[in-house]
Amino acid sequence: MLLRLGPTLTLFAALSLFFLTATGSSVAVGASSKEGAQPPTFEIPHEPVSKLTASEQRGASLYAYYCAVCHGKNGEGDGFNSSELSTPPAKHDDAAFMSTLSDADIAKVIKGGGPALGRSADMPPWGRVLGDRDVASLVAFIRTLSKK
Amino acid sequence: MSFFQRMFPVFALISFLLFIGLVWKDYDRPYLEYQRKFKALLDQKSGGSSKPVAFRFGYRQRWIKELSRVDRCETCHLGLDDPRFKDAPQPFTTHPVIAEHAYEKFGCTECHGGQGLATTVEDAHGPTENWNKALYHDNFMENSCSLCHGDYLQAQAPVLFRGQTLFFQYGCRGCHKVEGKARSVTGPPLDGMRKRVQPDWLYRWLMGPRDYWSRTKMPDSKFSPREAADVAAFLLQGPGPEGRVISGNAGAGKTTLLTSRCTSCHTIEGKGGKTGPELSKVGSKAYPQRLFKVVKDPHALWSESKMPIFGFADRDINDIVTFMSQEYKDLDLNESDAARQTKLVASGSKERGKELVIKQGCVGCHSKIRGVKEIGELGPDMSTFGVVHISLLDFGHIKVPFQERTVPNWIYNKIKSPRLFKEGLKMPDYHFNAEETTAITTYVLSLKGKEVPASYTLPLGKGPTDYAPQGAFGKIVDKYRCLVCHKIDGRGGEVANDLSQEGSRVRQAWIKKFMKAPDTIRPMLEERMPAFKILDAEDDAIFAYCRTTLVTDKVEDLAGSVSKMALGDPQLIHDGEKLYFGKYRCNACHQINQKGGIVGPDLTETGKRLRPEWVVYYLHDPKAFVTRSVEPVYALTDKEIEALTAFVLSPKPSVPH
Repeated sequence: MLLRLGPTLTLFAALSLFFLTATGSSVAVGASSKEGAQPPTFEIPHEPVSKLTASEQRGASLYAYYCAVCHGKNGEGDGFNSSELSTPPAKHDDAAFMSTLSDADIAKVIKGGGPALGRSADMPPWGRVLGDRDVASLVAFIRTLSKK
Repeated sequence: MSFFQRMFPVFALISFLLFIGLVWKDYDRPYLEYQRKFKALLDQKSGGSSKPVAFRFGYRQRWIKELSRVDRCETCHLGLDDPRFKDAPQPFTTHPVIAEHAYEKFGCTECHGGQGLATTVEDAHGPTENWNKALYHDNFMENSCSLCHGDYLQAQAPVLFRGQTLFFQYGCRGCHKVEGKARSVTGPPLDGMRKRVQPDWLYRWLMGPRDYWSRTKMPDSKFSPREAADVAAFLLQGPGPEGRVISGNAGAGKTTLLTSRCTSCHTIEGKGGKTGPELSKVGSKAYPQRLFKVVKDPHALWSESKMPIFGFADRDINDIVTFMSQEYKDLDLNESDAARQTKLVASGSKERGKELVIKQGCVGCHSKIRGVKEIGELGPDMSTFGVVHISLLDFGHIKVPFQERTVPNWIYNKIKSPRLFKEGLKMPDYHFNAEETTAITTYVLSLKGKEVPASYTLPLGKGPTDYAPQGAFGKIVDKYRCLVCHKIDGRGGEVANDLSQEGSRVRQAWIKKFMKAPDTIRPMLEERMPAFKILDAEDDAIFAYCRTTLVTDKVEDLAGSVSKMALGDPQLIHDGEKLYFGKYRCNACHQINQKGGIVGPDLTETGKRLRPEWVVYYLHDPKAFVTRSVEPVYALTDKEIEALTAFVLSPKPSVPH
């Protein structure tokens, strides 16, 4: 009985294998549109919006809000307020300069202001505004600025 | 011997091998591979192998009774609460916010999605062919936050908050019901269109709203030329523009228009605010008679209009309208095109136009369309759309492999290209970019119609209140639409500063002067406050309301002790000056006589502007009223505060060089 079923089973297996590969390999295709030019396509929104880690992203938004006015959007030390300062703000994109500072140093300056590291009081203390986690994420983000 | 009898030993052997295979498969579960790797990592992290690290092989399961969740994720995700695994590769990485979101309380799948009971990567993370509950992609992850934290998580879940804002700004609520949220009609009423706009403009507007105003919220309904002409013909019924011809002095009009800071809200030649419509082509759009009425009293035409009543004299309005009609023309428009379009509209079918207006659901955003019943909520109910079953979503003829056939992907694509899945769908195209689409998708996913137990709810952020001032001040706020930009007691816009404590903050003389000729005290800001024609009686009403209602006891209670301070004492002022320029370097951010930083407000005229008790209070606690102000917080002593207050309030004559 089993032998008689053999060809049927083989056919069934072959068919299912065929359909499996046929459907499996089909990719998303766009709908046809009468406007022509650029028909909309089904998009797979899987590209991460940001290449930064969660902590770095948090740091980035804090940086843009509190730091970029002087240190510049990308840490180039060219924020719109930088020209008004007696001491030019630190350049966070300068890898050579940044390598002289440990993470703890950076955190210390953010929390205690310039004088905490014997530098200018133009850099105010943020320790009463930002929590430890904020400061840590800021440090993480500042580190990314010199890694480009 | 029959066939089966002869084959019996073979079948027996096969059965036995299968049995062994099953036992082996059950013993060597895929997760054990991860557990062995984790054990190796754990040994490595524990340093020397002096004593073996305790580790139990086998699956781990957590039952979160209150949420009725059973999660086995920690079978592989073994480093979740161990800070040593912060930089370890997945699946062992420490959960970044485990302190606030302990999985003992929340489990994993409540927020992340996925299949909690599964113990293979494919099944747990999904989607598998017949189980749609896949993990949320990072892009949409914030949707789950609203379950416990409510709707106003601006700081903690910016994507979700943005999605919600866009959803209501763009009038999605006009067609889609969301339980517990009032329907809002976001577009202008469409009565008397023939009196308002030129037929060829309406035709072009219907064909492509963004060609006229790139930032418009009006979606693209993808009308064919014939359809656009029909709709325009239907909307343009009734009498044409009425009233006298407007004529005035265009030069004077230009001056008034520019000095009244119309660009704080309107775009002119690509520059300006986003609140009001584009003005640089308005001369090719609206009839002068209509423009006159809009400038005179926009609220009479549209009660929801955000435009203030400036209080211009009729002569001034004549000048402004003359200037706009002459100068603000669509320069790309050639006359033969316009004439052709006007003719096309004239030959349009009103009946077909009406059908299209009804079919397209224009009433979702617009009211007062002649002869069209105002029934909202034409689209599907969104109240529980975040947990819709995939089988209810129609992908049309688009083949999507099951790995991508997920609810978030469907919603994303529906918002991105609303008519992708089938031709003839109603939803118009809003031309959202990827970031906006992601945000709205996140918001829609957050609509789960589900309540968590009370012990889980922790609302964060503040929603708008229903503050509505009464009396004379209420009338002023309504006339000038103050709350479009300013916030008072939790209601209003985010454009300008919060006025909830304005009475404790500024002096009366300054308010009067400012309302007559508003200028900015922040060097970096463009001057945005429009110059209204404030009446004297209104000025008094504003101050009376400020001093009685917009006050805070925190500041008023200080008045007694501050009045005892010798703030005029030259020695104290001198001490303050030293602190200002030396120890605290306030000049890094604030200007005095055009010198100093440009981050904070200019402090030259502070003595005329601020009340002394406010300055004292502010120096004590800069974050008391504006929690996100960029002001750093110093640990100032009382003596230092007194000296700084004395200096900041002292007159600062510019030193002649």
